[in-house]
Amino acid sequence: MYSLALSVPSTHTSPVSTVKISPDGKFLATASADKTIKLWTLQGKLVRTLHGHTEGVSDVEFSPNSKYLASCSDDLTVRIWDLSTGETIKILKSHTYHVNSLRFNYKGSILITGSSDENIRIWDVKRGRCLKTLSAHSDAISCVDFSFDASIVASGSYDGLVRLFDLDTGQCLKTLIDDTRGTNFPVSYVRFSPNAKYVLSSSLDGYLRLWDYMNNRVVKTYKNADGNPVAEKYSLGTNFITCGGDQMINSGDENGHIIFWDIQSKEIRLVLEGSEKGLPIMQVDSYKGGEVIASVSLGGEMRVWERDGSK
Amino acid sequence: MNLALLDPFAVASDFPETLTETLSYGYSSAVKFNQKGDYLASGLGDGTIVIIDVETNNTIMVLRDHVRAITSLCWSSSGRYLLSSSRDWKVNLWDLKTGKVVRFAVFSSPIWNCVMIPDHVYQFAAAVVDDEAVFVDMEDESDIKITQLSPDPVESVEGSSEGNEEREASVPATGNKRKRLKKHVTLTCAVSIDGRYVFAGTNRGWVNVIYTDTLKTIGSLKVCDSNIKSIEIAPTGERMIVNSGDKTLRQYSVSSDYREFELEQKYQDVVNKIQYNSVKFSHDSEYMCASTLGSTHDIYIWETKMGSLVKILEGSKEELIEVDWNYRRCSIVATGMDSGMIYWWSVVVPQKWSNLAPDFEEIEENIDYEEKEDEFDMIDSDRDSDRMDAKEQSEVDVVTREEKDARGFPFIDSFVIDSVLTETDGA
Repeated sequence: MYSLALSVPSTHTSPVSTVKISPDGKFLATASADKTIKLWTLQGKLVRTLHGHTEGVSDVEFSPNSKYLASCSDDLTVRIWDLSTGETIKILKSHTYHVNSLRFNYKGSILITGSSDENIRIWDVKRGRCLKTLSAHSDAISCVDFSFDASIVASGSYDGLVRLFDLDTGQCLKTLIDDTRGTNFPVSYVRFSPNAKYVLSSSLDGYLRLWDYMNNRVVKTYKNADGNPVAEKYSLGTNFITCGGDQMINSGDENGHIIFWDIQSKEIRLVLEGSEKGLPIMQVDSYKGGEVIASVSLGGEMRVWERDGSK
Repeated sequence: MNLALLDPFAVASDFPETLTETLSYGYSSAVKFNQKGDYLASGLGDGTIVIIDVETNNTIMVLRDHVRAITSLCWSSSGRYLLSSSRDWKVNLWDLKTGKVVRFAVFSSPIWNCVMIPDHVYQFAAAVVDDEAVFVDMEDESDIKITQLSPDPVESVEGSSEGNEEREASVPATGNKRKRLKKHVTLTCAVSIDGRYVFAGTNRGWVNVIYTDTLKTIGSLKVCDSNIKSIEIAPTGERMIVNSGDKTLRQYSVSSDYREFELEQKYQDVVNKIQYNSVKFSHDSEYMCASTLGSTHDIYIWETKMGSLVKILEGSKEELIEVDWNYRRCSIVATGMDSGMIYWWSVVVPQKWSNLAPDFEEIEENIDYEEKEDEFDMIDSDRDSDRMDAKEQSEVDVVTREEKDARGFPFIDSFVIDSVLTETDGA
């Protein structure tokens, strides 16, 4: 289904946290604990290395017009970079602990960040000012996401909850908790479905859950093969693959696999090898609903895959 | 998407109730929301136009070209173009992709107001001070066609006037000397929802209906004897409000061919004798709001079927001039006369505390809790996972979007103004 288009060995000197494809499909960005962000062409040529953060970088995100890149770091700051010059144009400070995750709205005017200080902050990017602070979680925020119309913010936290917030008012709209098992494991990643009717959450109990949040119900649970967990330690990125009439869920696991589940039957349709050493696949990012996907392992092995006609 | 999760009673409100915000960026003389309601254009007294991003309340774009106060603003339906008229005798068409003027037309005097013809970005009608109203086609940049529209009324349309006596007096008889002395001048323009007709209000209380294909007046409606201040067409197209100098708002129902008008309501304050500054319909034309001249600093909201006053929006400390209604966000903005500030009324949604803890429920009164039969049963994990599998058989569709939001508005893709971070404001 996918053919390997590019494989780049690690150039970062420390573990790598994420890879993202720019919305125009031209660039890749990788972030690392070595405090740098590297910008690549989709063909694997290193364009530039962004220096500035004083601690490891946890997450990066391209602005919707692909002109800017936002990054968040353990140095408590968020930086906005101008990609044409490689300069930092804004530094957003307010968080009091590691910033773990960030996301732009579809206009590129608002940025949301989730931090280990248990707060989510909403930023006006142009002014570089914090508009609102959402403090409803009782542990580190692992991940934040926007619905397609940017009216709802979803957050996953180590307190085991997924919460949905109204962007306008900052009110909590919904709390999702899987209490069928009695315990609540930390939530490591959240992602809205493309139509924002569902939320996909990853928990450190090793499962992915698809929530019908209107009805407070888990409609699908996705499991790794042979009873292995998907993730028990790391926040591994997930994706919805929607191109070519297929609907699949996609995530890396902690043993170097990139797994594709059929959304309806929950069966594993495809497994790709993302790491020679079997290291965790930290992030898989998709472009155009999965026409192209990029993956990166903890050790920094970056791979790009292209969809082909075969089944 | 958020509306579906909010308090349904708050979402279903027809109009806002609370002053939630005041925005101050220069002296605002005209305000207008785009169709999606995510940007507000504010025209200033010095000719500058600022585009405010409603989500951040930040100015996302500053348009500079006019040198006198902005008199009216008009968004294209896509949200990409903005038409502005000014007291500097100019009408500009702005492309918000670049922030530049793409077309302009210059007249011989200031412009009262301009209206873009829906779905024809380059066409507009405008009322010009001390001159005839114009219909302009700017499609060809090198050959801008300006057609003057005659302000003289033609044979009055059906069911128009308020009394026979008035109707007889208002026929433009050639022999009437008094009428000749005071010539008709168009003071305001409006356009029908389908863009096929322009409504022009004159200084002598007539509304002329002009067909945009031929630019001929096909009918005229005698409203009153004083000047027409503004004409507001409901978004549904079936109603029209005429604001006139005799301190009255007249609400007409409009036939689909724009030839018949029936007076539905008259709104006037006989005690205080207030003039109305600006009028706006709600999206379904069930309500309308108006700002008032003089010492009352409020916005009045009427229900249009019975004509009853349902709400007075308070909170401003000055007279309010221009109003606009943001349908999708259910908010109303108005500009203040003294400070030029923008006042912003919206619906305040209460936080539901049970949203924070899903196992908590908000109940009206205390109830005796009855334990369910299986509430504390131990479930062994194998059976549990079978049961889970059985529960998860339903089909899910993660791609198809809802067509409408909880207020009933379809989700639309509107033009997104590129956010430029490296420039300072207005540079």
